Amino acid sequence: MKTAREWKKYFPVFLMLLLAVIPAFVTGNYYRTVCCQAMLYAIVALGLNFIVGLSGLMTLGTAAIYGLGSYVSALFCVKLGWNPWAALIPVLISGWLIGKGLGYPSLRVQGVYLSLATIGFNEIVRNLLTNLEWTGSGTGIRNIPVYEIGGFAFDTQIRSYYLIYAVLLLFIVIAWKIVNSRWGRAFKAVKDNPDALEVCGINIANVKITAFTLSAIFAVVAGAMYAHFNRYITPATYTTDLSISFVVMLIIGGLGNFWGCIYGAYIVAFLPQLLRPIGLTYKLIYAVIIMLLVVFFPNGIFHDIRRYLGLHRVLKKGGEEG
Amino acid sequence: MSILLETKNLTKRFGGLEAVKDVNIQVKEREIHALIGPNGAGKTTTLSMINGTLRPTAGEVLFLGQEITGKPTYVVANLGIGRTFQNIKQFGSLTVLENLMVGGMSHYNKGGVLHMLLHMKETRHMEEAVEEKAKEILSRIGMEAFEKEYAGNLPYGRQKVLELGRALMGDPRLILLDEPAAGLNPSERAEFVEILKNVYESGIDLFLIEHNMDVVMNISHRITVLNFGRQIAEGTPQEIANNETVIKAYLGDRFSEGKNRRG
Repeated sequence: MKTAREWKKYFPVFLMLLLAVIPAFVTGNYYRTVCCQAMLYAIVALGLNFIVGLSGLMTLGTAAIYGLGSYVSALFCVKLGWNPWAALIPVLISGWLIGKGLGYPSLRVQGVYLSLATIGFNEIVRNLLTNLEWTGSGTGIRNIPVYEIGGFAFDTQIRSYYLIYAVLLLFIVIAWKIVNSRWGRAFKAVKDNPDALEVCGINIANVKITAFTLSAIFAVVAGAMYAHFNRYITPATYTTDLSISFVVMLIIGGLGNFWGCIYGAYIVAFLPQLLRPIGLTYKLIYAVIIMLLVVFFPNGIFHDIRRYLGLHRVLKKGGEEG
Repeated sequence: MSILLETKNLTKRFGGLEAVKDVNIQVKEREIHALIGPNGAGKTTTLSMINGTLRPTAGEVLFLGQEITGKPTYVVANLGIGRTFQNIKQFGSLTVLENLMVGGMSHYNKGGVLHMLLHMKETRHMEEAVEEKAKEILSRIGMEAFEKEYAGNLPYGRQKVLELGRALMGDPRLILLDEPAAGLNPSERAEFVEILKNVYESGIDLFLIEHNMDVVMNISHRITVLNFGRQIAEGTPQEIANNETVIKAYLGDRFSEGKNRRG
């Protein structure tokens, strides 16, 4: 009989196998689209985890970065006729730049002011996308080409699903490596005590900017994938609402909890769709469920269920948890 | 003996208040130097100006003959000046071992994220090296038993020791300690003094602020006394214990007169 700890080691494998076989059970195109959406959200959430979950900075401009990824990729393909794969290069560059650019204000502006500044950023980007002619104004961009490998086009839901699945797998590995490295420790240290990190000889400006840059790169890649999966983008997608939803994913999964980013993304993607049959009030019910989750499972659903069942060591993480 | 750390006319004004005025301290190599003084004398302010947390209004700080005035804290730390805090500052959500590993990050474990992802093997080696160093420090500070414990769960005394351990991880030349023994009970204090002596013997010089006279008189070679931001005395523990001005600053005029009559 294996102990829980030994089983836990295989959890990532189980999770990825589960995600791999989901399309066999979810046959409708509509729900398969939601599955793809959930995986894209999970990529963004894994990136946002570096800022919000680990470094403890509240940023609400993620949807704008996600949108920049979509627009850069779409514009390069539609206006300049680039191959979607090649367009990933400008996408990554734009992510790197915007991450650095957003990281700097985070050094000066803190707490709730940082949240407001990033909401401002989100609104500026959304307004620009809505009003600039060359980004297609309010109607957005249509007929975005799909990804192709040697004539094999990722043009159906099921094909897109496995493409996004592969990208998610890649980003899980990258994020896992970073979280469990010196950088992961540095991010947590910034949250716990920036002064102490500074006397350890580490430039906290560098650590914060790195967190923002990583997060932006995850978000722009997910954004680009979204553009080529949906084949049609409009500025209305990239609202502050979406930015808040990204943070909600992290909170439902438990701030700083690695696998929480993934199931948090699934819950936020699926819950509204599952509640839709209720009718007009479904958004209200969705909001109430989210609130209850936050109140009763503040450290993430699975973490707290284990805690309630007594399977989890109390006070596992620092003094803040009881 | 050459001079390790020197301050020249170090001054800090907060608006109209002169928190520290014209302080000249020379910390010599192979010396434990203590900075004492009543509450509000400007001790912590002086320490913060040395390690770059506060920018001096005037004056200079020299470390090994090199000017470090107003340099960012992390630069000063990398030059070889470690620091611990009066009110504990550790990383509560990291384990004891991880706390130490963060302390050694800038020395043993450099490189950006991309570099790290592209050089997995090198990364693993560095990670092993820093972990080994952390374990060595753990045994030096006598905390092997707490290796996997979260730092936030440690008792107060242990957290203080951990902070010292973290400072040691950067292989410093000098450690600035801000009231290391504050809040420790007598037995913890004795243990801490032993660790400090051990650290000193390993070749690291210490500059400490301390209120507990048993600690100060026991370990320091030289003492500087501050009062209302001014340097009022400097000398060996014996000299300071018998110094008129110091006794007056700590206990008031009456006691120093009484001492005169008796002497």
